[in-house]
Amino acid sequence: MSEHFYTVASDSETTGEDKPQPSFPDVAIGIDIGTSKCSVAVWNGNQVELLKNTRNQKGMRSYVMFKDDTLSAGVTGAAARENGHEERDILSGSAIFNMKRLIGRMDTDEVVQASKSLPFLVQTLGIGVRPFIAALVNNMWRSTTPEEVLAIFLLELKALVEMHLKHPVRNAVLTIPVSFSRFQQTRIERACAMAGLHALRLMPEPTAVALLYAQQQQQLMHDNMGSGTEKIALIFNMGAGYCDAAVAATAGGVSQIRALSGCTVGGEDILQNIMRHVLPSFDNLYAGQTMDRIRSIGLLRIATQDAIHKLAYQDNVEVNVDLGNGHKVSKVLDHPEFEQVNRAIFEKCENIINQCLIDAKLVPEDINDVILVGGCSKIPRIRSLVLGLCKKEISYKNIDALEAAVSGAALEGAIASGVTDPSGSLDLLTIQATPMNLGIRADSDIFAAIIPRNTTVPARRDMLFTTTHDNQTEALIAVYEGEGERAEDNHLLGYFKITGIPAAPKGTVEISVCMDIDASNVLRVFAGVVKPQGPAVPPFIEVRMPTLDDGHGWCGQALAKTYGKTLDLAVLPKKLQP
Amino acid sequence: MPHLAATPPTSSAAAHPTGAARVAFRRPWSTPPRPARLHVRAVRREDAGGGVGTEEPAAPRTFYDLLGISAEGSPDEVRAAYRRLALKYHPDVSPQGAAAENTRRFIEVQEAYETLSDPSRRASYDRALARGVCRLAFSGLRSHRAYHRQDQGDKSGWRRSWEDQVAELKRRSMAKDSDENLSWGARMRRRAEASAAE
Repeated sequence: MSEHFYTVASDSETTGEDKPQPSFPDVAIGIDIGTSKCSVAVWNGNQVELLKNTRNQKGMRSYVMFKDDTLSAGVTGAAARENGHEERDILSGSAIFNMKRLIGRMDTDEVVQASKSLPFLVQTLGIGVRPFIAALVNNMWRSTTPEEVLAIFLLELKALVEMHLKHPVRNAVLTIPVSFSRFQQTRIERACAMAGLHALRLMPEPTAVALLYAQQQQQLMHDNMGSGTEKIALIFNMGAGYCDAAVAATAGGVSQIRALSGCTVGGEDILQNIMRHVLPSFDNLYAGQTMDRIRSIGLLRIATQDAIHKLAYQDNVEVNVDLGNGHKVSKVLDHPEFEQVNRAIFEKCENIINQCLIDAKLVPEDINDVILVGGCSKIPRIRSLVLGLCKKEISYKNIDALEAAVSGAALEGAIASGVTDPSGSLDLLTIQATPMNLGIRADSDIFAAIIPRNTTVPARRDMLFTTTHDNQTEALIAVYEGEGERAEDNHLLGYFKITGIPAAPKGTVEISVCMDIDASNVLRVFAGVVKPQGPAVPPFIEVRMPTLDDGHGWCGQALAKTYGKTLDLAVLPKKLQP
Repeated sequence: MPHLAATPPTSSAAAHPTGAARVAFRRPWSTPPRPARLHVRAVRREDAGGGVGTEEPAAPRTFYDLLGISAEGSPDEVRAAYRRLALKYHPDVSPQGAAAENTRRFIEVQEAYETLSDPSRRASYDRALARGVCRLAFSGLRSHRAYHRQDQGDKSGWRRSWEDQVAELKRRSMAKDSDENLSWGARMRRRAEASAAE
């Protein structure tokens, strides 16, 4: 596919202008962009159907190969010589993969730092700007960006779907990790726009699984004439790049997300841990991204990956690989060692499940079903860990670990496109919740959460603040998203000033900051003076977030440097209720 | 639809006197009214005198009314009522034209559900209700009113809601030209002017 085959469409608001096109049924497709593999599904009128590529694969490797003047993505795998060698080609430095891990991240992010051990070029300056990413083309590094790579991939995916459905496709529901920031969501939407797709909805992966579960429970109820009592499911999803958990309460086709939590931990981290474990001196063996290093990384990755897969079914495995230049790896790996090396990862998994249960105000006994999905759910330790925490012997069986998320996305796509089914199998509703706290900076560097995480959306919450200096006439509203207690530990989404505050002693003025998340998940912040009132008070300000283009580390620092505490606000303690 | 979605959930008085609200809550009065609601009835009569509503009360004044369940409703009834109303008001299942209004209602239903499904919050809500304090009824509404409320003085709930309804009626008669074309900020300013002019 030639480079100029894709045009960069405007990524500005595309919502609302979509007119239903009567010429073909405009049903949104479901896409699961995985760190390692992607899949696509569509409602075919009766059920969800996963589409296969020309090589009969439902899960297509997520990468884009750069060669001379051509680009080709893993959807068709046209650049790979043949099936058996695809993985080696991907690791040649000419392909960019793991874009889901890199998209929308700053170069200070530890995930970006860890990506420097990948065969393509990831350059960082560590100052909070976008990393430099490049693929090897004819012995030269050619720069690109994660969203460009994703856009090229999506374009090929779109072509595959259109070939299959024999009509143009415009709308898509995509699944995203729970821990994705609003910046990362914007980047995904932008990549979709570049590929000519409209991201109708971005759905946290476990909530897509919850939708599929809700449909199955609804079906069971119809079949058995059951009572339709509420069922509670814990969904644990771990793929190559991310790990998420959700608690969903389901009854009567309504799936209510009670809690969400997630982190950037996945199979990629397990792989890198094991690679470092079997060859501890690896980082010192090669200086810089040389051809020798790229080749060795590739060989080691393939051997390690293979060993981890085998370890899911056998007691021990031998990693045996010749990296050339006299470097050989020969090591037997068993389960206790594997678990010891990845202990920190398993602890993080435990944390997000515990967090989810606490947030949902549930104990393990309340859970009816434990649903394990994602590639890493095949790892025995992960299974035993999740089931142990939920005090269950077995996991829910009727869901395919690798197809659940994309199937849920396709279901949501059909529902959101207004498709109805006579059998009632699309009479479903997912009530989503916010994955992260949203708030502003107050009391010098405290993060005051106005919409706490796991708040049902749409949502609207407000909070009162006051001035911190006498006769303070201006205040800075710095909006953050995240889980950190200090404002600086979170993502700065944007900022604006309230000016013309009536001069008054500190602590007497009341400033209301209201946050609103609408049905389209758009975040707006309203702020203004509510006390004193009168004609001397300036009008309220309404700002759509994020106003920043990127998770830009410099902005927060520049604000702090320029204004210090002069424009600070303090949280006004809640008045006692009458 | 960013524009529609931006429409803020304004005071409940704006919508509740309409017929739609009556249709939406078919059983708001199926339970015997508690003393606390007597005030509300009086308020409703005031409202009717304004020529908007009818004798039949339409606006649910407590979370129980909102969910259409009795004050003795079990946790299962609370959940079932919540699901029923979610299927009615969640923006995903709302017709295009009603999305903004339904979003506002969904947020109210959500608050009612969150309060009544939590035993300790429900207990304190019940105590407040028994004392006749309706103010707790919709903290969401209270917060929206904060933008245009002229005085912060300590008033009892029924008086505030009465004032709000009067202000709303005044605003409606003053601003017949479609509010929908105005931005949120413009509407709030207009509202502030209206209440300042009282």
